[in-house]
Amino acid sequence: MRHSNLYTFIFITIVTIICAGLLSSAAYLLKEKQQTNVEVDMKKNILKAVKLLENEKMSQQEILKSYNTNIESYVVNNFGEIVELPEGISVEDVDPEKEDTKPENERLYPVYVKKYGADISAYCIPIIGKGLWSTMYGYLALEPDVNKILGITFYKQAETPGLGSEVGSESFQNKFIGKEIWDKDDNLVAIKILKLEPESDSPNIIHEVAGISGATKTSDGVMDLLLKDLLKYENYLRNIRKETVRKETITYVE
Amino acid sequence: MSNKKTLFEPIIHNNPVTIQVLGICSALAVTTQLKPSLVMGIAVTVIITMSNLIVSLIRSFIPKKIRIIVEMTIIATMVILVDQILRAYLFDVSKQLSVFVGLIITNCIVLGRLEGFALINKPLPSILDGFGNGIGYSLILVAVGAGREILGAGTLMGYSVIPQSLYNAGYENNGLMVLAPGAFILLGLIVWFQRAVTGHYEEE
Repeated sequence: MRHSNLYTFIFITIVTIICAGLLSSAAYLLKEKQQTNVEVDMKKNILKAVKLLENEKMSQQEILKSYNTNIESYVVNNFGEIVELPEGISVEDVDPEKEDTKPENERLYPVYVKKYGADISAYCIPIIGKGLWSTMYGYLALEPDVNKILGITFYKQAETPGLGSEVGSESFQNKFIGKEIWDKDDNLVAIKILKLEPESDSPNIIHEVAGISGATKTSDGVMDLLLKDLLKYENYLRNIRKETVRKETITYVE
Repeated sequence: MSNKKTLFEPIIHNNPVTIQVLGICSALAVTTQLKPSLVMGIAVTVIITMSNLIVSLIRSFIPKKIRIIVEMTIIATMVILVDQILRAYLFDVSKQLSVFVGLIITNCIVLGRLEGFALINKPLPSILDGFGNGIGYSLILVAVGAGREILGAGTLMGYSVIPQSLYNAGYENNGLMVLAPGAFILLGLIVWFQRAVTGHYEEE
């Protein structure tokens, strides 16, 4: 049966309207749940990076509770000074990707601090960078000496499933634990991701980890983004290092 | 064709992947591990079944000249809907499948079933045909995914399955299996095995 042009036109209009309506109502109804998922996922990954995540099965309420009691967050500027945010904006709302588009002196960098009583037991910063296909998002947690890596996570990436996407796996992330980000001359260094296991007698073994086979580009991306993001916090990290050294000296004198 | 035949034929005798050789791209891309293969299989099955049903319901109203556009609109709607629901209720899985859920839109099996079956058949057989084809596709994906994960990484669903003693004796994971050629080899072996058993061969 041949249909007239008018019929064709009306038909496709109706189909489009129904489909568009269906999709927009689904997006509207599911939006809140999806946003909560994203927010909890972000907090969960901060907890994971600083080793507070007891297990993967923690409920959303438990994650939010643990985050609120243990994590303190603030933003620092390019000079490493802590800056007050305007009212109504929380540190979690600061989008590191958007900050990158601002002029350098206006950028804000979020820091998540793990408190243990009055002491700080870890510093955590967001890490973002390109892999092979996608932008990878994660967190890097440092020990209080801001030299040794305490943990690293990637919570959002669209690398090749099974290959590059292994950056999200615990076995890959655990390789970074204990590696150091400052070299002997007090410069920030990239953690080198090798093709094979680092040789145990290599002088640089504290700055090296084994990569993922079949995912060289993704590994290179991780290597680059770690250094790039650490350099953003360089002034802030240097300040902490100076303070730690001073504290240690005082304790020594006492 | 009986309903039973409609449902079961695409699972073995007319399998969309091994006999019709459709949907190969995703069968290669997501099958490095069992879990994404499984979820991909389920997602595709749901999407073919639903789109088959919808197209079959409106089949007599679709103008011939724009039928492909209508079919694509319906497939795209279903795919985005499934993606949204995964994001809301199965957040971790949706993160793992990332772009591949969206790419179901371009899976030739879905459009193939709409064109080849749902446009000329009643709703019930269309549902069965979509479901059967989805299961046929999933079976191959799961087989390839399981094979590649065991041979390539020594694990299944993330748990190690190859005993440590074997590694101590000099066994090594086959890195080729993690890469695309590994999928081609396994898929080729499955096609060969299946045709050897069923006696199916291409007409000249």
